Amino acid sequence: MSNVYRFNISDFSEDLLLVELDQAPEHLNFSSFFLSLSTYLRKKLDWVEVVAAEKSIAVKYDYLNITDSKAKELILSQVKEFDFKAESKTKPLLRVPVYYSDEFGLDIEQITKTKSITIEELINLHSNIEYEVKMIGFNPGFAYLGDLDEKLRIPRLSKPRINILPGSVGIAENRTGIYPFGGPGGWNIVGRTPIKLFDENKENPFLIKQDMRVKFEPITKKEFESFNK
Amino acid sequence: MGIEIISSGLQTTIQDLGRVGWRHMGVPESGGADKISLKLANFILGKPFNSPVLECTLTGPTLKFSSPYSVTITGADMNPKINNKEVGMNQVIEVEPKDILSMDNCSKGCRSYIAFSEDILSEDFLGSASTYLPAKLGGIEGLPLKEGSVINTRPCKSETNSLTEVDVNLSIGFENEWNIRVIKGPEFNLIKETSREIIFSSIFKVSNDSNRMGNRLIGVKVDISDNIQMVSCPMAPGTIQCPENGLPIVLGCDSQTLGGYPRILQIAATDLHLIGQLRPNDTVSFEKISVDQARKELMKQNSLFNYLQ
Repeated sequence: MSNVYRFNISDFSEDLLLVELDQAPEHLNFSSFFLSLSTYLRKKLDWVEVVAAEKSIAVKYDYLNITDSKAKELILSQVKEFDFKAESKTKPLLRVPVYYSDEFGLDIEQITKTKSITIEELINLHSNIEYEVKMIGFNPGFAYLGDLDEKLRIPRLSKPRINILPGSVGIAENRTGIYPFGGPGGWNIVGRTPIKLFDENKENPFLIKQDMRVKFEPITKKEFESFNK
Repeated sequence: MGIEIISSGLQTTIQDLGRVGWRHMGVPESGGADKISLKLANFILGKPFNSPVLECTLTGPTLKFSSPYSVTITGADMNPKINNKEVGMNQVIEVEPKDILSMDNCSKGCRSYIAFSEDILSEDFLGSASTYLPAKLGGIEGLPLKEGSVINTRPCKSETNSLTEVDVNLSIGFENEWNIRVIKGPEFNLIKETSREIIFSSIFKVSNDSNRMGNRLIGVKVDISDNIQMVSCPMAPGTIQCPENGLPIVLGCDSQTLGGYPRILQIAATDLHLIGQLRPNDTVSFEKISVDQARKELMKQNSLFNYLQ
């Protein structure tokens, strides 16, 4: 791999290393780079945990079986052999049906008013884009998808809701995402998907993974209800 | 075989040692907030360290047993009583059908752990019984125990030999003033120079606004450099992050996997369990140690528990 990349490996805690870039090529898509690198490192099976954020990765090692200096050596050799271009092959597309309506889209009315658009325009703007997974975090299985069309960008709710229905689809700033479980949340809700984002019987029980693209497909109330039968 | 919840206490949840290996999917470890006291409870009953137990917060529950059990209570002392007669902490208590265990408030520490000779039946999520309240996962319907409900149990699969004598040196000393060892966090240098030494000589107070996700500290403001551009970063239990308002937040076992504030300090792994015992208005001071020293301490603590097992 070309030496335009220069990595910095540092201690985050006793058994946690931080991988960052001191030097990177111009116009590098950092979040995409680190997400892809984290998937690559996870496949090596040498690590307890590999967590990607926007411009860094945290790698947890088994401190009982490997010393910190050995862990640093190993991670450095692995990130050096990582080839971003080769790993950036076409990502599988996941189609997620969404019932956009006032019934579940608690904030649709407010958004269409603020943005002076119709519900149909909102649906088109939201469902016409193939989104990339930018990050996974905040809540179990919650994938930050982007980028959202500029015409739809609005801030988070000033007061988060206490309990959101699982499958709710939200938007905030340049991101959109689906809540896999119930619980609190501060994103503007535009609709709900009837599909399950979590299946305990699968090896990786989360439906949306790091290396995917996601597209939303509008469905009717009837179609939404028939999913649950 | 079951245990009836006569009263639930302030927040009583089922916890084990938590779920490891899922942070990349946004799943925090959870598990007991004070994992040393949790391990100790299981250890005294001769059960595997990872067996699910009840974690009680500030005020304990009242439980009624429908069959005989051995019971052990560790962590914060909530004045446990069996049929209104005081019983001790960190020891094996034998209970009979219809016996009632009642607990009260604690004045030192924040959480107690109740282990039973039988295994608690609960909902497994990603290999752990631990209740994660923000997404309602694990435990029983992902919720705190409710008055009137019943915890079902079944005989423990592994052979158990409860201890006859307990070396209580293993239980932590409970105070209202805590000294916690820390290492420098990745963004330590974003603290203004004038504030850097103050952190280690000041006494912080635990705010009321604290839970399993995090403990907020008040009393002393930490000056963070102006106009910093943070992007979202990986966090860990024990990370102390500091927003621009200068009031540090100690991330707990249920904290989110990513966050956007400077990570100024990291609690040494050996002292991580102490944050589960911080109660509102307790005071906290931080002692700086090197990461190498922290590793040595961790090895020491670990070999102690290996020796036990």
